[in-house]
Amino acid sequence: MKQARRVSFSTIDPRLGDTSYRPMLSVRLARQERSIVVEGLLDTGATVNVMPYHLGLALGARWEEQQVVVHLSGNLAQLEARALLVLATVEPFAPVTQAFAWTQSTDVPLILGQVNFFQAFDVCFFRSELAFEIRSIRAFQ
Amino acid sequence: MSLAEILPKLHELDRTDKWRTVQFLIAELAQEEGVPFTHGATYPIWSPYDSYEAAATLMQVLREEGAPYEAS
Repeated sequence: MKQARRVSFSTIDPRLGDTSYRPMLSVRLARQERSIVVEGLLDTGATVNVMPYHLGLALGARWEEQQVVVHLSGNLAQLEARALLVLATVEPFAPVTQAFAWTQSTDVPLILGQVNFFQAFDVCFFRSELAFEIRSIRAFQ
Repeated sequence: MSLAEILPKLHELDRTDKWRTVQFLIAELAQEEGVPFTHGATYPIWSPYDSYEAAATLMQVLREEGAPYEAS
């Protein structure tokens, strides 16, 4: 049995009560010589990972150098997106390569979706306990 | 003021005002319950829940990079 890490849900505004909790995960994103620690939304309904524009810039990515165009749906369909590969580290697990749809939107949160975050990690939600458990699909590092 | 006192007055309202009353009460209850919704407001949904073409594109990029964690 692989070891799991338990994480509490985050709240955006305690005044909103029980509805304000959401599963946010702290993840270190690295690309070339740069790295940043950001909060990502665990979104099991999202087909893909999504990265807002400013985070890509913070990782040193240049829009014109990312040649692969990604067509998103919903609110994000109106803006162009490009594929961006980064190394993602969720402590205490080993780093994994993650592919993001890097959108020109700056409003969207960092979304961790099925491709390929949930291909790298198993996550079990315990909403009644306002927590989730995450484990790497690889051996515990 | 009790409900028994209000009901006859509500009954006299025209259709439009009855709907407004319903909307008002729903908004009041939502606020009291901590539901962060406001009548008439727009709430963006960012989740790309059916972006299968995007998923295929990203999977292809991962394959070309030789990255692990591809779908088996």
